[in-house]
Amino acid sequence: MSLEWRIALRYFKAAGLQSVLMVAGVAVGVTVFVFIASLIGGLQQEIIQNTIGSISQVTLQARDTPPRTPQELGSEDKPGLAYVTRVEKYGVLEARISNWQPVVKQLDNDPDLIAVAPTVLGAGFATRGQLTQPVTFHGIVPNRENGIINLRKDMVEGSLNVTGQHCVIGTELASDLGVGVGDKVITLSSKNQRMTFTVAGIFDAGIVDVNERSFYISLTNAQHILNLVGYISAVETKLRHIFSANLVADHLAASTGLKTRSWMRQNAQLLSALQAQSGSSAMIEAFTMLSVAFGIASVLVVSVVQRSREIGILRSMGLRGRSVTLVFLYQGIVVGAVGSVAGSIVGTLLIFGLLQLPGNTASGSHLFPAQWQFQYVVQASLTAVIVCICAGIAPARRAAALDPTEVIRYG
Amino acid sequence: MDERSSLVELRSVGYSYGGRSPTRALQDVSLTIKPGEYVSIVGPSGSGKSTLLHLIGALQQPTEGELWIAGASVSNMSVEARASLRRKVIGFVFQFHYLLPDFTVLENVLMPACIAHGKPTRADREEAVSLLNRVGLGERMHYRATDISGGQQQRAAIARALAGGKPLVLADEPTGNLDTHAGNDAFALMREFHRTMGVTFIVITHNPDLAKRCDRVITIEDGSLASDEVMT
Ligand SMILES: Nc1ncnc2c1ncn2[C@@H]1O[C@H](COP(=O)(O)OP(=O)(O)OP(=O)(O)O)[C@@H](O)[C@H]1O
Ligand SMILES: [Mg+2]
Repeated sequence: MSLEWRIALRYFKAAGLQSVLMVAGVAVGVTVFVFIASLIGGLQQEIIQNTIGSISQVTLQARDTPPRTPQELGSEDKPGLAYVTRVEKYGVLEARISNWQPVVKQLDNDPDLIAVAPTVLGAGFATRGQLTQPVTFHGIVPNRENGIINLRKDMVEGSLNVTGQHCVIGTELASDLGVGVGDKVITLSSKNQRMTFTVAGIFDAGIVDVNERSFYISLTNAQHILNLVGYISAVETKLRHIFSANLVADHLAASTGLKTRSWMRQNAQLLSALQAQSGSSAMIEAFTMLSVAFGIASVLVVSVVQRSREIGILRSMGLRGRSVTLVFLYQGIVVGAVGSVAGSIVGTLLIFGLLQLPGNTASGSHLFPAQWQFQYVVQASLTAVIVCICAGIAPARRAAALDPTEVIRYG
Repeated sequence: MDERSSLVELRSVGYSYGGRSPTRALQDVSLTIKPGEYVSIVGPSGSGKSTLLHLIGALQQPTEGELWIAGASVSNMSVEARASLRRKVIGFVFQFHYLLPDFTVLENVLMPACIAHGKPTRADREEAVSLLNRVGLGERMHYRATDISGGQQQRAAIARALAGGKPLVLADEPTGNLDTHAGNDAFALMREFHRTMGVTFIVITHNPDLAKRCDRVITIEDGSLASDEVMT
């Protein structure tokens, strides 16, 4: 161990209460850091899980097709003049992707994606006896769709079975139509195609609108009743890193030639709310560390004054100015390190204590959705040590600048 | 070092303190101190004795004139070069504070070696222990510096000033804070080291009896050299 370290450690031990106070200051800072990071991190995790977690994060759709010319519409058969007076746009539900299998295959191999689900969407009605309800048909491949919205977890009755003529509907629709598992429902699509389905399962997605509207059937049946044989409406995906949605959306648009929609662009409000949360937690962390820095610096300045005679004696013995600086910087490091260990332990215990509190029993969640991560402890400790070194700079320079004769002269 | 060459040489040295009320503390001091001398500096309070000692100890630089220590010109040395010179050549004994309070007596005596080369060697330890035995602190070397008496602290400080084979020891009223008995002890120790090791001592004292026991007495009055007598 170098002389500077030995002196720094000796001073740290000898300073008693001062050292305890500095360590306590750092420990509180690190505790707050770990606590806030875990709390906000957990909260965000939960919000994300409950929102973007259960939707398609990047959706691929057909590009808007350019309006067809009168020639394409076959008006040549009827000679004469034709005026285009109105151009109808294809609705979202009408946009269709042809030759979709290669696209799905390509997406399956994309390392940015963790789930890929082709879907066929269309509007229509579901009828049971006298009761008729408007519905949205979702033609799905269950195992793939489950990767996007985790339908299996939401099943409250029956199972996620859409093989043959089976369908899966939401709780609200089931009660609106008065059906249960095993009952039959007649459907009429917007393309005027009828088909009869047997209810195989009922889900509760936690959102009334979804429970009321969604009508899950197989991809083939949906293609059939919506006149989309050979086509799909969209490809839904789930990302490995959800905040990379815009980047992934852009590169998928380029590589597939399809139109892509990123959740980040569709849910700008949610995104800015999440960012505001991250921002405020970073602010709290920064200000906590800043006040720790001021605290450490002021205690160290006092200790430089108290040690000035000894610094003078050491200087008279020929101790280098650099060494004096190092002694006080090392003291900062010792304070930062000891405080970080203490603060990490307290912060961690606090979070786990909080998780023991009984929460909302209905949803089975915790009162505080905190989520402790080792990463937070590392970040907090590193920040604290750096902060303490920085806090030591001014006092250390002051110590090195002391004139030994000034302190030696007077007793 | 050549017997005849000087260890300390001042040529018309002057020193003025800057600041709000600039003070001319020393003026036109010329003197030579040869290796192996035992010199005392006397003079009234405020006459400039400490200032002179700090100059000779390379803690300060003369504002006028030329100063050589061990053949090196201090007048235009950098702060760190002067620190290096002190490490090699000069040991200090101060009036008010003797030892570093958070270290043991032995650690204090080893401190110059630590400053010079990081870690004390075996030879450093042997030297320190032998010096402490000679000043009568062999039994107490593992005590904390604050746990021994003032006289003992000052004897340990003398051992520390000598550690590392320093050829020059500067002492600013080393006995000023001690009772007569302890003061005589400390003084006798320094004379003993001077006699046996040939170390050069320059000692400021207010005690005329002690001054008379030195080989040479330099008197400073009002910042100037008033007399420089060799005792017989
Ligand atoms: N830092 C300083 N700034 C300004 N003037 C100073 C400073 N230190 C000392 N002086 C002045 O310089 C002069 C010489 O001081 P010095 O300490 O060398 O005297 P001294 O002979 O050692 O006195 P004493 O016997 O009381 O220790 C005095 O007038 C003193 O007031
Ligand atoms: Mg003095």
